[in-house]
Order: sequence, then structure tokens, then C-alpha cells
Amino acid sequence: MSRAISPWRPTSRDLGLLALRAGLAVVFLAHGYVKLFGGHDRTVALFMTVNIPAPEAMAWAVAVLEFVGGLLLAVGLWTRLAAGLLTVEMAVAIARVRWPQGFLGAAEFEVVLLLACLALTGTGSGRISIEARLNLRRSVR
Amino acid sequence: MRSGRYAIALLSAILALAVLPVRAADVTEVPEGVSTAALAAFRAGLALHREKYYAPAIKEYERAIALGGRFPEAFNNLAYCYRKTGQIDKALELYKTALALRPTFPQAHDYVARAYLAKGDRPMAMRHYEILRRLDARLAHCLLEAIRRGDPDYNDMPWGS
Repeated sequence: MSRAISPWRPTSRDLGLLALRAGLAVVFLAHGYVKLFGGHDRTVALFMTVNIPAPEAMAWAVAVLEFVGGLLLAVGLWTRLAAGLLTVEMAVAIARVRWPQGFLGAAEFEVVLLLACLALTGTGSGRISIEARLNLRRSVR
Repeated sequence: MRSGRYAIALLSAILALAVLPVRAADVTEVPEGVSTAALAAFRAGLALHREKYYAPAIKEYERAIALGGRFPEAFNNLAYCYRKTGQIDKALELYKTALALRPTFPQAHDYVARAYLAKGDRPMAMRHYEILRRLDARLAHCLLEAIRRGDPDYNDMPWGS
């Protein structure tokens, strides 16, 4: 097989998607880590203040989503699913918490995260990912 | 094989980067984008507030907010002054604004609970106690004692930040 047409060879698009996934993974892993290990009460207090239903359960769910979602984005596995769920989370965070605080210095960061997650939901992980490797192996078989 | 090593290296780097900012997350939030004039008015209000000159402190805090100082401390302190001058409804609205700007603001939860207590709304006071005990156990303990006694001024520490 020629190297030029090898499906293993990443394109600039794949490198761009890898950079996007890496950036999002760092942010979500950090926030998920804080919520899971020591920040649970603070998250529950936040959810109670902004009237999120079942705040205890939702705080755990969001922490796990951010941490596991961040890991999945990093390795490129179930990327669309993880990015889709994180998009929904960001939409809720913007609507319930950030928007009343304004845009500059408040909602702007979550808006960027939402749009980046939305982009990954549409594109998928690219070729530098576990799921691309798994798909390739399946197609070779 | 080589790509596997790259993947492991990338994952390690992402994990390291993700854990690094965790320590910085505990640092007290400092209001961003607040003008010097607004900060000066806020500090003037704070000086009067600490001396319990609530009426002139209200004027300074309102000036700070009018000058663009939309940060939670300004609303919280202004609400405190209104509460201390008996204007509970006005104080409640301002506490709500402070909590919209920073939902995990312990002092605002403490004071809004006391404002509800002053209005005789014990369930709402307890609701904010439930939130506060997750944010600051010491403040929550003082608040609970005030709720038990039905006295909003019991252990009411003028915060002023």
C-alpha cells in the first residue's frame, strides 16, 4: 500500500481535530476532577441556588460526564456521544448560570466550549483516535 | 506501535495539564473589568459600612454599581445596608442579584437567609441554610442558631469585603 494513500496517515484536518479534542479534554478533565474530588458540595450548592432538580444526583452526573467525557475526547472514543452530551451540559450551564452574569467575563467561555463540542459532535474525532483505529481494523477484516 | 506510544504520551500530557489548574481554582475570585471609579466608590462605601454609617454607605455602593461595578460584593454589601436600615424587600432583591452573579457566594446565602427570617419566611431561610452548610460550615452553624432563635441579628457578622 502506498504511503500517500494510507488511511493511517493523518491529514491537517485530523491534526486540527486532535488539537480541538485536546483543548476540550484538558478543560473538561480539570473541571470534572474538581467536582469529583473535593468540589461536590460546592457543585450541589450551585445547583440548589439555580434550581436544578435533584441537585445531589445531578452534581455526580455532571462530574462523571465532564471527567469521563474529557477522557473520551482525549483518546478519541465515542467522541460524538461525549461531545453531544457536553454540548447539552454547556447549554444548560449557559442558560441557568452564566447568561444572567453577562457575556464578557462570564458566559463567553461556556459559549466557546458549547460551539467547540457542537463542532466535534458534527465532525467526529478524526483519524488520530482510537475509534478511527477500531473502524479501520474492522474494515480490513 | 509507535502511534500507541504517541497516544499514551498525549494522554499523559492532557491529564497533567488538566490537573495543574485544579490548584488555581481555589483562589478567591477577583472582579474583572471593574472601573477604577467604581472600585473607589465601593471602597468608600465599605469604609462607611464598617463604621455602621449605613445610609451614606448605601449612596456609595449605589454609585459604584451605577459606575459599572456589577460585582457580587457590591450588591451583597448594599443589600446588607438596606437590611440594617429595615428595607428588607429591597435587600432581598439585591441579594438575589448578588447570587445570580455568584451562586456560590457564602455570605450572600447567609444574609439572604437572615432577610427571609426577618420577613418571617423560615422555610426560605432554611433553604439557604441547606445551601450554605455545603459552602461554609462555620457560617452555616451561626445561621442555624439564628434560625432556631428566630432572631435574624443573632451572630450576624458585618462582613464587608
